[in-house]
Amino acid sequence: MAGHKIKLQSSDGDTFDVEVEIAKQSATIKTMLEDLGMDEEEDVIPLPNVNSAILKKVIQWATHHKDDPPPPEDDENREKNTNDISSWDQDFLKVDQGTLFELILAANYLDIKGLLDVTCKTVANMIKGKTPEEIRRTFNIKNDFTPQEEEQIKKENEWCEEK
Amino acid sequence: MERSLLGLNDLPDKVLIIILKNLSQLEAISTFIDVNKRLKTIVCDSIFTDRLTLMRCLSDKFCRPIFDPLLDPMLDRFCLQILPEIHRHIKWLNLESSSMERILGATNYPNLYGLGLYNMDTEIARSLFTGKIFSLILPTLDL
Repeated sequence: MAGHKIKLQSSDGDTFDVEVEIAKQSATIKTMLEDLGMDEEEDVIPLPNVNSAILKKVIQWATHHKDDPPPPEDDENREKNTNDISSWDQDFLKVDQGTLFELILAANYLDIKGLLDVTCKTVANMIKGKTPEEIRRTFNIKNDFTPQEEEQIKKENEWCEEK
Repeated sequence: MERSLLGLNDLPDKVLIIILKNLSQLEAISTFIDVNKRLKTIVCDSIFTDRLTLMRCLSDKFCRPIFDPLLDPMLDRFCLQILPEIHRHIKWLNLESSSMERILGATNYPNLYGLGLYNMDTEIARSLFTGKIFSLILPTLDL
């Protein structure tokens, strides 16, 4: 039924009225609605893994993409194209890294394939062309290889270099 | 919005794999093998390393495929460091003729059961394979 709404509750207790058809872009929510018969307007769907700020962004994304065709199934043999992010999505994802990763976790938890695809492509674009050291710096990742392990790797390759 | 401290390394393996699959196979392996232990483990997993294409697949102005060797820095990196680390995972290699010998000589491949050979000169192929026993030889494309 067009315009029929449900309530989504974030981890910090805020509730959002969302059209069922928009909320159903989340396979997690769709399953809850179908399996638990939660289709009354007063029913509240708790989303304990998504905070209010991120849920608001997810709803904004899902509302913009409500008329999109379903995303295609993954094809392992198809070359991935990360240059096909729409300008709206690019603007939507101009956020700090922490928010981007929160959106990825929310898309994964809520099982919203389109949002997960576009956020992961955005991170892949941030990685492309960078050296391991630049990646550590960009994403604040600690190098946890011990000096012994690094030495071992070098040693394993020595015979190769001598050839 | 409150600033989140979440980082790339906080994402679950499943999501990191989706991100890495958006990179070329060689870029994902060559970059992430040296970032940290967890990312190295993920990128050395057989889903990234069991079937490797160690050449550049381009096309000419008539859209016919051209197979070129990897650029020297990437070829060096794979032959000197990466292949000796992931050799046990490799089950299939796609290679072109000019870099084939170097790649096959870089390490041993105990689980390799298949080779895709491109740009292979007929005479070289004959000298390499005549008299050898293979479980299966598929027709080759001599371009």
